[in-house]
Amino acid sequence: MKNAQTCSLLLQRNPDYNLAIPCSARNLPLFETQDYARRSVYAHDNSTPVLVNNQQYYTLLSTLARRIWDSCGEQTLLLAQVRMPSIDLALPKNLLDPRVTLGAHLCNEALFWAHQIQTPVVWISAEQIRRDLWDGGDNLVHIAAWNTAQTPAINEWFLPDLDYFAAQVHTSPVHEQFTTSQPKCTHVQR
Amino acid sequence: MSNSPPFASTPSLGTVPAFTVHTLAYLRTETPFVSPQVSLEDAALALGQRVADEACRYASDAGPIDDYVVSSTVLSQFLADGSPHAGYFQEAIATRYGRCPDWVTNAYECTGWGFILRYIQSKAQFNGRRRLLLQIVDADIHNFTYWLGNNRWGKSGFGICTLVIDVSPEAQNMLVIGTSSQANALLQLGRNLRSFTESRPGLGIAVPFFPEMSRRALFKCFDTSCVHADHYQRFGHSFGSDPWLSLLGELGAGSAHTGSDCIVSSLAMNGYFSIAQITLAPDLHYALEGEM
Repeated sequence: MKNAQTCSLLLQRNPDYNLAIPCSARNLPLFETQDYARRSVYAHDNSTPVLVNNQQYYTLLSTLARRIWDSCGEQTLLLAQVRMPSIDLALPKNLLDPRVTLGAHLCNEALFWAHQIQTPVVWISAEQIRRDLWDGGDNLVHIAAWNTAQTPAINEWFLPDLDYFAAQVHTSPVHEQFTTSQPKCTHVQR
Repeated sequence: MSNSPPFASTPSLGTVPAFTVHTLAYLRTETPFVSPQVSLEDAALALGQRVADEACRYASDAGPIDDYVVSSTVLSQFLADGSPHAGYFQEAIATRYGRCPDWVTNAYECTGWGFILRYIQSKAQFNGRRRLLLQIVDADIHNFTYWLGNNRWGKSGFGICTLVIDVSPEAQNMLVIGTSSQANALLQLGRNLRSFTESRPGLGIAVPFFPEMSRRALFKCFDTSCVHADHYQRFGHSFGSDPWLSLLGELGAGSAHTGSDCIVSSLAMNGYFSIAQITLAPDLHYALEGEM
């Protein structure tokens, strides 16, 4: 099995630091009193700060995609795990590109491509970035890359672009599935 | 976002089927899907079980499935965010159907099926034809008022569409995915339907279910003589399932036939659109509300 380069980055600051940005912007509208009750059913305690709104989240994803293509080549495939949906906010055009797939549980797809092709494949887990008090998450972004040069390390690709998030490299076990000899696949893809 | 050209060249009529539909089924779900007292865990399990039931009923005899994907517009973020509840949803499907979806997406809204077909076709480039189990799952476990309907798409219809589609790598010109501003979305869908259908005269056309005013605006853009009958009054806007429900309506009425081709289309509220030419397999299995 091909091993992946991996890293985890902890976002620590709103990208528009010192500016008042509504974090609830473009979330699902609550029309009735009952909607607030429906939402509160699943309220949970989470001390992790809400750092971004949906617009800033999409900008972050778009920036990461651009950085990946700049660093690894324009042919690089990107599989990004995202938390959706957002209401009344279109995805940036580069995230609708055929080289990009957005969804949940995409790690096996990333492994499929990593074995299938010789060109770079990058998996991003960005679904744990909080955009609303309703969200779970820890503001960690996990990244794995295959078929890429070993140097520079992949965190060095991204950290300059994430300076405005005060991003820090973080130790995380989430990458075990990409670096051990037995992938945690639920089935084998042909 | 400014208007932009579709992410595929203007298509022409091909000879090799790119997307052959072997199974097509739709089941409406209750509204509300679960009562307000149900925990998030139980709601995740209930929806997962319902999805799995449909997969069991309509995909168990479909032969080996290469890819299994769930697409949605209204699916709760808690069921597609890597959280424990997303895991319960997956496990409920796996427990009953025997396999959990390879991946789930609610990023592309009603046009998800088009993005998924594009992705699966790119996989087929390497290994040849792939059999896809695609379920379009639109049930809101939270019962938010927003999803019940509004002046954007009218009244909503909730349900589960189950499709088994063979995706072939050869024909690259059978799918158009594009995007435009929200304000021009209907117009852009119509213009792209015009260019797509001009080279495919005589094929039936399935369009999204919208209120009459939106439908009229869409119909100003292309030759609508082959458009399927409208089922908005019966089903409401059923998100990404609309074109497939439209097809079921035609099959039930005897105006679409197995072994034939037709055109399906969807529009997302954020301006994305998907248009595809699909082939109904000669041995197509189809069912609407459980009736074959």
